[in-house]
Amino acid sequence: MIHHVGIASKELDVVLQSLTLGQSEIVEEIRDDLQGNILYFIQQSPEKPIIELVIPFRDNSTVSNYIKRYGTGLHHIGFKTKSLSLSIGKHKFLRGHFLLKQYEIYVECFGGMVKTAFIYANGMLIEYIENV
Amino acid sequence: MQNKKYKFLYDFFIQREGNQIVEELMNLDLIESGIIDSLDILELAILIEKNTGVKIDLLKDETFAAMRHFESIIDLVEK
Repeated sequence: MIHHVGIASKELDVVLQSLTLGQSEIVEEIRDDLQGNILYFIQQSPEKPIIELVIPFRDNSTVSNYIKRYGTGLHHIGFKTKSLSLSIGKHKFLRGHFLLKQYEIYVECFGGMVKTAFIYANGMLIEYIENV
Repeated sequence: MQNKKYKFLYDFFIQREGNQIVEELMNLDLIESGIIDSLDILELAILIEKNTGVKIDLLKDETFAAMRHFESIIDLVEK
């Protein structure tokens, strides 16, 4: 089951308008200095996937090149896992699959501290998160 | 003189920058000069795996460093 979807955009208002959502629906905001992005989280109901809006605040953020090339759009699909290393391992020897990044971050609506890994899988960007 | 084994790499840069890039490739910092960015590094890794079977580890700092220069990209594949 999809845990969250990450949508990258240069501007928050643009992406909120695209999704016909308002700022009042944002439940959490995080400034991620390491990745260079501000993350806005929207959780419409516990049963639905969380929407993560990724807005860069500097030119060399992790989504800047993506936005320059593709504009506002679906950036990644997030899945929860009980074992990050196991999930990464499943991709390790597959052709066209590359581990791009691993780090830890605190996200309240993800359940607190999480270990995360981004994997490029044949054109899709997948994020795995494991609660620490 | 182009190495036929790495024609796919030359083609990658020729498609983006035109034929004249072949003369300049050896002397350029590919990242500094804005010819490639992080998404292109991923694209290069996919291309290298497809053409040589070599899987590039994108988490390693030395991979990023190697991607700066054409010769070091080839060294990365030859390792």
